[in-house]
Amino acid sequence: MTENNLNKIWANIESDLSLDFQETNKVALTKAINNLPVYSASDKIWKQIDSRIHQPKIKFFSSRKMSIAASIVGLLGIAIGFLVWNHSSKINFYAVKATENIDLMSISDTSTASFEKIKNATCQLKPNYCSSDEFKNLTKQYDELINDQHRILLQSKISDDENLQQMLLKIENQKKEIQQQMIAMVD
Amino acid sequence: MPKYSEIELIEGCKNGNRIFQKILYEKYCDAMFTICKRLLNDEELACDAMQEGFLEVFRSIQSFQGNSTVGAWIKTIIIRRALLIGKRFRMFDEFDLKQHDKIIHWDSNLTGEELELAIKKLPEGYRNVFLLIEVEGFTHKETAELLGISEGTSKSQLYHSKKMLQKSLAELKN
Repeated sequence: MTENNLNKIWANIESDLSLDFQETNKVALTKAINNLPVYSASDKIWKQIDSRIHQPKIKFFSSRKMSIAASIVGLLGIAIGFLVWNHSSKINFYAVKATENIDLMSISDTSTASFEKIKNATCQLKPNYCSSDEFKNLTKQYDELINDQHRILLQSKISDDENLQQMLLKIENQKKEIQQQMIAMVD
Repeated sequence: MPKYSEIELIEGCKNGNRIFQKILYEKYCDAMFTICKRLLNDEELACDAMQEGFLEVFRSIQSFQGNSTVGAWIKTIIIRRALLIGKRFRMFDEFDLKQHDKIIHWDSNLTGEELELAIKKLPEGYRNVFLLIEVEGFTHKETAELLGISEGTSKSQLYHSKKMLQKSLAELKN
């Protein structure tokens, strides 16, 4: 920096140090300040604040998701209908794989309960299949997945982490795979 | 809509009552939005400051002790938030090295609209100090604290802001 610039800066500092400036007709400024325009906040600001304050911890529900959930529950219902009772030894049931972010909390409970009913009914009819080591191993894996799912569901109640929903979806699909393996064994 | 006292509003908000939150918001939203818009000189940033600021208000309202009016408390929160947002987009203020005369004269015909236009042209640092002191009524000490500057800088910035306003207003008139 040149000496000239340094001198200018110092002159400015010196000037600011003795800021005893005078204002004349300040009433005009006060009047203008009092007449400054007031701006209206748009409605969208409140909507966004409101949604952020009161947003539910778990936001799984939507009409589309509900319709997917209803379809899956419907399919399970049909499967139960076929199973209870199809008098032939062939069991007509298949597991539905979840491919989207759906309301896993309600669906997993429904599908798990439905599958348990089917499994129990099948095992009563065909105890040999259910007592095999392979079937027991699958049952164990299935139960572990249910426990994991419950643990994540509890965690999702206190966290907005979107990864939790992905984990739930993954577990749900793993459950479906095991269900299909179990069905294939009995079939 | 029924009228509620300030105490009732605060209690309602402390209980997380959405209706009371809305009433409190509506009571102060335009004034706060005006402050944000002037400080940030940008409508979108002002909306961000309003959202973040009022969220902070509702989330921290349990800590409101009533040592000041709720309006003053909200104003401080909103201004802090707006200044924080402004920092993310801060540009360097121009520093005028010219010597100034120490007399500032305000035109008797100065209108609010003209002043508003001139305020918009101020660099951020000058604009903040002018708005906080002259428009919002904060002291140099309070302004210095809000902006994280010294009282001397606040005084200096106020003087320079007024000189720049005069220059802008003169250009507007011509």
